Amino acid sequence: MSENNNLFGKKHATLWRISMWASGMAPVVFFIFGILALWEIVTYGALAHNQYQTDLTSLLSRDFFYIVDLLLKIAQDFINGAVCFLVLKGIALGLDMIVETDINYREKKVEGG
Amino acid sequence: MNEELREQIRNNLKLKDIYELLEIWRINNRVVWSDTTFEVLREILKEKIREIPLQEKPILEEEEIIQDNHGLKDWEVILLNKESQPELYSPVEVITFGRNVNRLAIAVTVVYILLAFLNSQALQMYLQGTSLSINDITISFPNILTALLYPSLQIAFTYFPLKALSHILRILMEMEFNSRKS
Repeated sequence: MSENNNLFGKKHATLWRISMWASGMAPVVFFIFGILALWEIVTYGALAHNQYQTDLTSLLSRDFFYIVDLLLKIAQDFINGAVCFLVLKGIALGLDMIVETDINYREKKVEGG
Repeated sequence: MNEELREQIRNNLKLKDIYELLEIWRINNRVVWSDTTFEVLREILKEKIREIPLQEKPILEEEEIIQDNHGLKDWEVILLNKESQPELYSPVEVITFGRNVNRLAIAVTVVYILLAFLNSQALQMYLQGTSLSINDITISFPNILTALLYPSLQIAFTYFPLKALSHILRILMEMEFNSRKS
């Protein structure tokens, strides 16, 4: 591909830029979901205070159900983040492959006369 | 004769770009490339770059390529062993993507089922110490059905698009490899 760098046109550059953005945004989105997952602890703390008039540790030690529920909610947020991460990475990879395929065909065409 | 051969190899190698040459050097496949080629390649790399990178363990038999597949499928091994590798993406990343999708699919299924179970009315009643009669179960059947339907849809809406994306990427990768110069 690199033998004919002039085959890398404006359309390719646009797609490549989008791919770079998607690839760059993927860890950022995952990080945001990570924060949201940790925020679940704060939310649970507020629930313990408002609904049960106790603190988080007391509520969690009261019943095993609450620990499992909190852990699953955190896991759910992390999973949602992982899904978004993979989707963005997948889009980036797909666009890169489309650009590379197109350039390969153009290169063949140029060499074929 | 030897000099002529070296010169011919040199000319052939000079047609390739530096990345391809470095890849050939790194992979160190002695089945595909002769020892003379590597000697010439070293000379060319010396002219082009300051420090020649280290080579991997030489591949001396065709079998070694197949043995070293780390659970990859045959066509993936062929793609990864090709001399020219893509510049804009990494095939390894595409293969890893597929594996991560499978792992995530399992995690999604487990977490959503557990969450649905945890939030189910039956479990709540059991935890509160309320006994469930058959009549209660019959009455709350639509609720149970909804409670089962919701996580199922969540799993389906997460799993199938991700799987589709993974397959699309593999097809695109095959298309990209097929589009290369033979």
